[in-house]
Amino acid sequence: MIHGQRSSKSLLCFGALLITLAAFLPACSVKLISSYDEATDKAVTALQRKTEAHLIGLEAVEGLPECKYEKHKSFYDEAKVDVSAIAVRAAAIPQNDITTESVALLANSLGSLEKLHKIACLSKDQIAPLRLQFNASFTAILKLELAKRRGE
Amino acid sequence: MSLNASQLGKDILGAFKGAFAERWPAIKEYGEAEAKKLAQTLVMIEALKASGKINDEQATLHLEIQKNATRTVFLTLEGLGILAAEAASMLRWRLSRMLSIRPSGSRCCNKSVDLACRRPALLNCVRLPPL
Repeated sequence: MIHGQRSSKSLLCFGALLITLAAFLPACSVKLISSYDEATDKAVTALQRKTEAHLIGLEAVEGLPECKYEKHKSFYDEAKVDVSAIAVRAAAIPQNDITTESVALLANSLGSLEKLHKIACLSKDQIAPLRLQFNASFTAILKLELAKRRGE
Repeated sequence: MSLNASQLGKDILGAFKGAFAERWPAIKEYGEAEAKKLAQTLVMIEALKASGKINDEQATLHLEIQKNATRTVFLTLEGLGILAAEAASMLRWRLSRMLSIRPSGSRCCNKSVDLACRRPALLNCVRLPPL
């Protein structure tokens, strides 16, 4: 008898739980991609400025001894630290796989830029496509980050 | 044979459209602009190589950067598409909530007191079928 009462009580509790879940589940907003991250936005913007300043600087010293890689090594060292910091932060944010992968691709591109500069000084002809490519990458990362604001 | 920027841009755009067919209207503007730029850059690299201004090793590195930029744009298009789908789903949920909160004949009648009554009259008067 007592056992029967207990099982009916359990059933009642289970039913109440189901009703509660049904009432509250629709109120949950499903986020498929992480929220906007201001630190990522600022760090990517700062790295874009630094990269653009580097390209402008290289254009200014075209044909001069100052164009050599050794004179610009500090940019590559700093850029590696910057992009690594962005990558670590992006990876720590849940549901942020797209941004994490995009930042990894940016790091790879900066590595290729350094290799190009080690081979020879970069001419204005080479810098033109590089500027477009890096701007495409930076714009893509920032566009998605800003879209994550979701009209807030 | 030299690359044609216009045709290349159309090819890249076609690839983007094919990959994101369902969500294309939401990301069309960005996709079109980037497809043009990516095509333009590829033509510039080809011209550098054809004119002998860069060697094979340099061309490979330029193409590596190009590939990374294209992949990043592709990832952003994917993300924007997901956000658009998420926003559409949220809108559907909000509309369904608005329609189901106050079926006609409810106590929602004093518009100066009840905040829920300040929604458009159409939404308050829709008679919903029982669930």
